[in-house]
This record gives sequence, C-alpha cells and structure tokens, in this order.
Amino acid sequence: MPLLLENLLLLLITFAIGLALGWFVWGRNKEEY
Amino acid sequence: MEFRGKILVGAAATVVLGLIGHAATGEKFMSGLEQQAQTELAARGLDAATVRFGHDPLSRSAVLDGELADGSRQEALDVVMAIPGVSQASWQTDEIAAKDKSDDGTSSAISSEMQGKIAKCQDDIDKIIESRKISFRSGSAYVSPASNKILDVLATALKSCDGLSVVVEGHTDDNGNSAINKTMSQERADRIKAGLVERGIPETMITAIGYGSTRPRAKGSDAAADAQNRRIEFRVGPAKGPTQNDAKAQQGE
Repeated sequence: MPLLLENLLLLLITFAIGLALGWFVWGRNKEEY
Repeated sequence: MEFRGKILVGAAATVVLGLIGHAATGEKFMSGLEQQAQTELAARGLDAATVRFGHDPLSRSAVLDGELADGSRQEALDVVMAIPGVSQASWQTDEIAAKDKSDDGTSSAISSEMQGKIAKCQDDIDKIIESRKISFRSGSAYVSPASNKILDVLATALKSCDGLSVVVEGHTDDNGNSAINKTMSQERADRIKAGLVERGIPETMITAIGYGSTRPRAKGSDAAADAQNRRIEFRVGPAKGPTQNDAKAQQGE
C-alpha cells in the first residue's frame, strides 16, 4: 500500500476515535442533563 | 446539521495535515529505511543485494535486487523484513507483477519486462515472415511490390514494438564474389530499413546489417537453396541510443 494512503488512513482513524471518545465523554452527558 | 459540518471540517483538516506531514517527512523516512536496510545487509555480508523501496508512490515494500546464492536470498529477505517499518520484502526477479513498480528505474525489472516484450515482438515478426517471405532476385536489391506489401504488415507490427530496437539482417546466396555479396546484402537490408522508415518506423529503432553469404539458411547451391538464402531476417532487441520520441521529432522536421 502506498505510504501516503497508510498515513492518511492512520490519521483519519485517529480522528474518528477522538471523535467517538469526545462524543462519549461530552456529547452523551449533554443529552442526559 | 451544524455538528456534521464540524466533523467534515475536522476530517478535511486531518487529511490536509496528513498530506503536509507526508510531503515533509515521506521521502526522508523512506531513504532512512533504505539506508538502514542496506547497512543491515552489509553487516551480514549480503551487500551484493541492493534494496529499493517504491518511490512512485512511496511504499514500505522493499524490493531486493542483485546476485546472491539461493540460500542467502531468503536470509536477505529475513534481514530486511526484520527492520521496523518494512512492510514487505521480495526479490525483483520473483516479482511477476513488478511492472507497476519498474518505473523507478530498477534495471532488472525493466529487463524482465523488456524480455517479454522482445519475445512477443520477435514472435509477431517471425509469424509474418514465415508465411510471406521478403524475396529478392539473384544479384538484385530491388524490393518487389509483393515484398512492399509485406513491409506494410511488418511496419504495423513494429509499431507495437515501441521502445525496442530491430536489426535488419540482409543475406545473399553464395553465387559470385563474396565481397560483392556482402555489399549486396547490406544494400538489401538498407532498402528494407528505408522501406520501414518510410512507413513511419523511427530510423533510430532499426539497424541494417549485411552478412553476405556467410550465414546461409539452406545448404547446397541449387536454385531452391539459393532462393531460401536470399533473405531478410529481423532480430528484436532492447532499445539503444536515443528514444523513440527523439526519432519521431526528427522525422517530423
């Protein structure tokens, strides 16, 4: 696989994980209160 | 809705960040890996092998090239694979699908690809020559209308031999003076070459050589053998000298 694709995939996965974590920590709380 | 927009902006920013990071460090990272692999190989006395990584696009799969004994080949692969960051290692000669990567200039990939191309081109020409022979009258380099038709077919076939070179060999029968025969065969080869150039084949792609009667195909000196020996042969090989585009440019002038 080209290095560029590997880099981009890795970063996007990191972004997605960050997003999911962020939603889990803050977004969900907001819904509850 | 606004939330989704923010995610998209974030994803786009991530992609941009990735692109910038890649442009800034990609080449450096790869040449670092390449150097490290080469050092590791040299440390084990396997420095007959050269390591290259894909450069267009950059890739972490290593391609090894060079002359090594069969046992050492596997060892070299293991050594390269053991380096952190290397995703794959293979030998150039084992790679049938090396076509895509051969653009980076590794010589033996080109030669194996080239060999296939040469064989195909030679085969095409042989088939044409087999069924319709370019023939000459004894003592003449006159290209008959029938032979001209063969040249039409040959020129079409040669156009798909882009990037190769062709040697046009002229041969004569063994009648008469051998020096004259040599000149005659050269003239025949030259005429064929000229005929092909007229039909749009780059001049630099074709070399005409006259062998006279030194390389007969049929033994004996009866009329049938003589007719077989008065012939033109084509040998396809790898390209040499200026590129096809140069030749086309010259023709266009």
